[in-house]
Amino acid sequence: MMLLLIFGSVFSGDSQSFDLFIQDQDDSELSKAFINSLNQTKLFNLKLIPKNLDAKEYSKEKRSFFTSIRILIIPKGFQDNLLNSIFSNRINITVSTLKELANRFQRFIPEEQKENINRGIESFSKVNLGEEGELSLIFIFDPSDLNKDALRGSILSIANSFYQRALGIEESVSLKSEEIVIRRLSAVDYYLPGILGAFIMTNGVIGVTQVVSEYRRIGFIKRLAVTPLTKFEWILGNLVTQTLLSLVLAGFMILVGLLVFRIVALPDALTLIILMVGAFCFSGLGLIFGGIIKDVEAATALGNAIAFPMMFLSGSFFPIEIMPDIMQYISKFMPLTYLQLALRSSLILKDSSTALSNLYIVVILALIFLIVGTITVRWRER
Amino acid sequence: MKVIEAFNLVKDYGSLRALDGVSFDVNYGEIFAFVGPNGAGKTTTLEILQGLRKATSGKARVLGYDLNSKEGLKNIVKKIGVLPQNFEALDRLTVRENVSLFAKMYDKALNVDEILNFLGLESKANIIFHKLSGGLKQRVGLAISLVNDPELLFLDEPTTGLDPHIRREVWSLIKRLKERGKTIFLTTHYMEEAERLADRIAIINKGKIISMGKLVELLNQYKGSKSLEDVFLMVLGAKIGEGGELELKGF
Repeated sequence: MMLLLIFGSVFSGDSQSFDLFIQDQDDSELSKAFINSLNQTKLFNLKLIPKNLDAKEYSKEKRSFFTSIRILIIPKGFQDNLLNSIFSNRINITVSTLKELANRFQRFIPEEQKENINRGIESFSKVNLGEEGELSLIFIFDPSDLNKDALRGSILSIANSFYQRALGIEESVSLKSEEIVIRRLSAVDYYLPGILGAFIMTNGVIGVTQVVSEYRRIGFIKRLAVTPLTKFEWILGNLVTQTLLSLVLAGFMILVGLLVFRIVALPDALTLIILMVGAFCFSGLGLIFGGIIKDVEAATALGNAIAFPMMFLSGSFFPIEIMPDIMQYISKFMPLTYLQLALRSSLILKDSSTALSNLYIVVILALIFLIVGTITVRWRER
Repeated sequence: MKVIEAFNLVKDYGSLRALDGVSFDVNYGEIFAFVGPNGAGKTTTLEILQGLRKATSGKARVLGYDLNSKEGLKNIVKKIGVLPQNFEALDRLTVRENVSLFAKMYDKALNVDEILNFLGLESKANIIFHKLSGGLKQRVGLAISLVNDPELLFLDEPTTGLDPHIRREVWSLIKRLKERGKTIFLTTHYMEEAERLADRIAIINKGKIISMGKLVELLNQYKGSKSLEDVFLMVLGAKIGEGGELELKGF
């Protein structure tokens, strides 16, 4: 529940923006226009710093444990260099265009006009715009900033786009974005399947392991064994109880998501079945550990040692695709991966065929865990 | 009529022989006490007779059913009651809920309130189990062992760790159960408990029954003994002086 509230609060906002300090040393019309271009992207939360300050010193002063400092310096001469570069490029384009035209259509052009054209091209080529300075921006960043490379690329792209517009080139390639689903989902909707899956897994693996090992320790299982109750009945009863408990708590989490974060990815019948089978599956896994380990502390430690890595390696909180190859490979052996995929397909994508194909794997694992758990839990000693 | 017949029971745990040819009978309606030091084999014998462990060799019949047959075991668990050593129930359930839970496991069970009344637990019925004292927990264990109105009761060290006055309360309950016609198999390492409660006593040490019979028979058998404790010590190889003092070898 805490996890849902924390993730929900952190990620429930709209698009993320990044702080960027700007030092406009040029203080010209074009430098201001460029800052405006940056601002229009809404990617940055721009903050202007005075041009007479030492930017590096300023970044050291402003740096704190919680924030990364990024400064973009627009150097003095930005406008002059930009204009020079634009005119120089325009002349080059004009000259090469005229040469191309003269070449391609020379048989239709009278000799007299050809000479005029050649003179014109020669005159253009001789135009001297003065010494051309380097057109560059300076990006100062914190080495620990995880977003530095992405932001650097974005600034460069915005600068090139600005330059092209100044040159008179219209953007020829456009990027149209479409959402995966038609429904308008919030960030919490995307995190909910991961949190639900992780919760169901920990409840089974840690909760059931503790219960079974504690019952063994206090001799309660022995006491049950001298009643008409059979081992299978007890195991099934335990798994059903844990499954129902998981479902109730999962329902409560969904309710909180609905009331607090207004989630729209609400569970349907298939999702409920997935949750139920998942709870059964991981309770079975807990049963195996509880059956093997008698000591409650050791059982808890083992439960934690298995549950936590599984939580992170199965895509509950981070997409599997961004993990290194070896981790992606390991994730294939994590039962939670399949529960996770089934829940995600069912809750977010409404893709029942993918959900079902992953659900089948969870069902098979649940049966395997039930059988192995029945063997490891000792009812009567030999 | 024999309620328990054990013949030449042997139990090995790896290279350790916990029971070494144990044979005895328990008659209908009697209290039979198994007395011995810690690790003598009392609990192992008890657990074999309850079907919790399999004997390495030997035979046993409980209430006329063969312990080695599945069908026999099925019938036995319906007709026995068990109070394990250091009994624990479900911590977060009340006394009544715990007793009711076990009552539901049987086809035929006694009325839970009647059992609670019989054991003087009616005022504690709604108290959470983990809040009970050790003596009351044992009493709840006894209540649970009675839910199926068993013909045979196994009580494994029922008063270990209890205060003397609570121990006496448990003794009086055991006597009342005998009066109701229950056969009771009791293990204990308190000699006084066996003396006061048991019709017959078996002394077990290192997996073997050293001596068995009524208290009078045992006292006669070991000349100079005045109590079961004397008999027990003599069985273990000590000598009792005329003044009742223990003569230890080497002193």
